[in-house]
Amino acid sequence: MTWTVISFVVLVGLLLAILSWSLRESAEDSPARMKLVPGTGSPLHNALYYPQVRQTFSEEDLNYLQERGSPKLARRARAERQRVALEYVKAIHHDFRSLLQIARVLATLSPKVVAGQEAERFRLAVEFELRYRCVRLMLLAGISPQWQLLKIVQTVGTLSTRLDAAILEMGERAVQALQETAGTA
Amino acid sequence: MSQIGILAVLAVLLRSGNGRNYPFFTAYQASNLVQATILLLAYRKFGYVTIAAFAVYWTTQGVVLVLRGLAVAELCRGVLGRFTGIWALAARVLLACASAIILYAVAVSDWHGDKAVTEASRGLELAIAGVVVSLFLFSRYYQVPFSRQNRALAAGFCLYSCAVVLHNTFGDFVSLRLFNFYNIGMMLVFCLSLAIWGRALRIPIPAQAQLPPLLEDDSYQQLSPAINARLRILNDRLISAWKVEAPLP
Repeated sequence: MTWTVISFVVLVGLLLAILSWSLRESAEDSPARMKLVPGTGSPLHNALYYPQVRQTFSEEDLNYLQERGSPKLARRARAERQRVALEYVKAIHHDFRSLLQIARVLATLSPKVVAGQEAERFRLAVEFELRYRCVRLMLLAGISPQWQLLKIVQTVGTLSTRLDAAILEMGERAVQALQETAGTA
Repeated sequence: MSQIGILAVLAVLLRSGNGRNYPFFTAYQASNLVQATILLLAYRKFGYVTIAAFAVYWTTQGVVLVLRGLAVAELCRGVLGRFTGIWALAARVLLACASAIILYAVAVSDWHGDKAVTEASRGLELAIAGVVVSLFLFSRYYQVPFSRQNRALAAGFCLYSCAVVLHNTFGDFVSLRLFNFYNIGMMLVFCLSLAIWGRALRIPIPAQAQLPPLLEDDSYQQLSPAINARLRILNDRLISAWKVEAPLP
């Protein structure tokens, strides 16, 4: 059995595995079932809750609990804080995916796309997905991320709302157009 | 047995009117039938294991392979062609993918003597399978509608091409005495592909609806970099999460 034979067998196995994975049509991948429904608000709507989440993470609040309450209460608060962080990171992930979905639909319905833009977006998506999984694992393991993590939200939240509206409007138009196409395919 | 299957697929194509939608696929099926007839006559005239029969087989096989390639190109265009922007991108990506696979096959194959032809065939079949899988990935990534008929065509092509690659790869290890039995497996996969194609194509494909007007060119030019910038910011910020506090007590 030579290296060539092994490499061809592995390649064929890989191709068949991807084929069978691709043939399984998942609900979320169907354009007709896209979650971005017109009127649901900005794809970055989770960013709007930044002040509330920031308050949840306030060190002052935790110190106050430790001083005035019991260590048990402080521990409970800390655990609750972890849960909120997990939920929040999940929500940011959802925002990222929504934005990505709009970008894909925008590309699909554009008469001309730039390969560099598409390649960069693909790279960003892969990177974000990997990092998101790492952060999630860290949180699940009880490791608390620093404040910088929450700055993600601040950054997103303070971006131009006008651009938000433009992206959303274009996204809605594009999704609607693609849904019409999918309905007739 | 496979000839009956090809005839059945051709009949299905003609009856459902899908032959007009897939002219290269129909030509490919017809070429399979013509090849079988030519080979039957050649084997009778020259014998089975002769240089003349070998030459006739690989010449006709070349024509069949070219038509297979064109049928796959037709399929890719059928799935993505309506979306001009990503079709231009996909065509380049798929060509690059096919070229990379062929280069790999050329680099690792044994090009001595009569093996060169089977090695070339293996490389081309692997490229076809690679293109089909890339088409699936591309359409999934961009969430382009992929009709049942096109999915069946693509799956059949990929399945058969993978089988040919394995058949050619392990062919060297099979003795001449057992080769006819070895070929039966290949024929069964071909019949399975024919069954997949025949089943999917028996229903006439409705005329494709007019695509809604594509977005203006400047919409993409304006919004795509802006979206990428936001995604980049989100990504960069997530790096900060690597700096962690001590584990909780």
